Amino acid sequence: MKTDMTHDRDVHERLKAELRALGQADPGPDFAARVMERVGSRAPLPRPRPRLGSVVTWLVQPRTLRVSPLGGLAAAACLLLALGLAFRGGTGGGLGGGTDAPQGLTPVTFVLAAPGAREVAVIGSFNGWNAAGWTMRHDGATGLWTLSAALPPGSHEYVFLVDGTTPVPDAAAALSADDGFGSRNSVLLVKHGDGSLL
Amino acid sequence: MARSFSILLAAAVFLAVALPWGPAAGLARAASAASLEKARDEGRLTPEESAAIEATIEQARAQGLPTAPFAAKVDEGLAKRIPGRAILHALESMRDDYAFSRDTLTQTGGTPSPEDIALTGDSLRLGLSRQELSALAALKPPAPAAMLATAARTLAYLKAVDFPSALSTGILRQGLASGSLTPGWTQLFRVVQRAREAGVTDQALAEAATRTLLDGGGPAELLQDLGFTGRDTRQAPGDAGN
Repeated sequence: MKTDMTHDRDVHERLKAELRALGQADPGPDFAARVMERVGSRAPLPRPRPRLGSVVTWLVQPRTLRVSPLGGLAAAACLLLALGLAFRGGTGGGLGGGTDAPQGLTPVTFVLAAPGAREVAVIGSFNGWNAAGWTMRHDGATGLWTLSAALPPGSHEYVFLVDGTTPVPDAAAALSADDGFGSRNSVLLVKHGDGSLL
Repeated sequence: MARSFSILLAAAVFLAVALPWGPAAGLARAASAASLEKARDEGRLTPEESAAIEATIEQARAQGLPTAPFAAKVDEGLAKRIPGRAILHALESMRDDYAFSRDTLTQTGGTPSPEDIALTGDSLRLGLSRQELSALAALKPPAPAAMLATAARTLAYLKAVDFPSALSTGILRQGLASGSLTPGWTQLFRVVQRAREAGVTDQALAEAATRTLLDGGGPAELLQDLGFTGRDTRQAPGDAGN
């Protein structure tokens, strides 16, 4: 302890002596010129980058992103779910009871009387003729098959696909079209969402 | 950094130029190819049938016809378990209908859009005859392709509800001459149905429609002329109006 205090005191005394000597030193008559020369010889500082350029640089600069395998799987699952919902939202898909139709789409209800059927789906131009997600609900009391969906305005052709193999036109449809295969498609004209006729 | 930015900029320019010209056709080809491949794998199409279908679609594309409806027809046929030969026949008929429609629409001096061609071609499947389509195109003065396509669809729908042909032709002639046959008039057949329910004769409706078109009005004005209110024409959700 005593040795440390003595050492510190010696350091202080030495520092004070050097500072006193510094004040007495003569910098020379060309001191200012020498200082300015050294300042001028340094490379100029870079000009501030324009804000837009800074933004662009930030955007294009590669960055390392660390994601755990579990986090990556979760992100991929979320992305797939969002894409799936967005895709089905464009064609309506089947709506549950009480579900509001997405904006721009008009709610419609398909109905078929087929008491002997095991399974019925709606396929048409609005779903790529793909029955996935378009299975109708069977009411045991009435024997009716129903499906509520939301479709964009316009003309749509469709049929009911009974038991996965037999296409059946909609007998209630006012319009039909030759399907080119020797049968007919039902034609559904969907109005705008406000339900107005024209 | 400058080099990577240049590459990014070049890619963005390329996409901006390329995308507007080919997304629909490209997507249609991709969708059709995927459906055909799946059908081949499942044994529902032979390789020869699949190749013939692809060739027919390619012919349609080469003729400048819209190809998306062809891909959709393939999907429809496969979903309905139609034999490959029958799918091919349907595509060939569609190609002929679309080509006839395109040539007829072109006679009026305009350039039909893919939508005009499909709207007119599909009207032939809805019951419009080629002779009737040619007669519409021959009306003077020549109508724009889009309006002629609207007339074709309107006539097809009117035929479906057994509206007299002579009355339909008179209405459409006035609409084309006046230039007031807007796409909304394709739903004229619904007005016919409502009017019949209300006891309005087809003759009276045709006269009212002709007056409305002469005045440059639309279907809403026709409804007013017939005395229908908004409540008469507005239907509850879930009723698509067929």
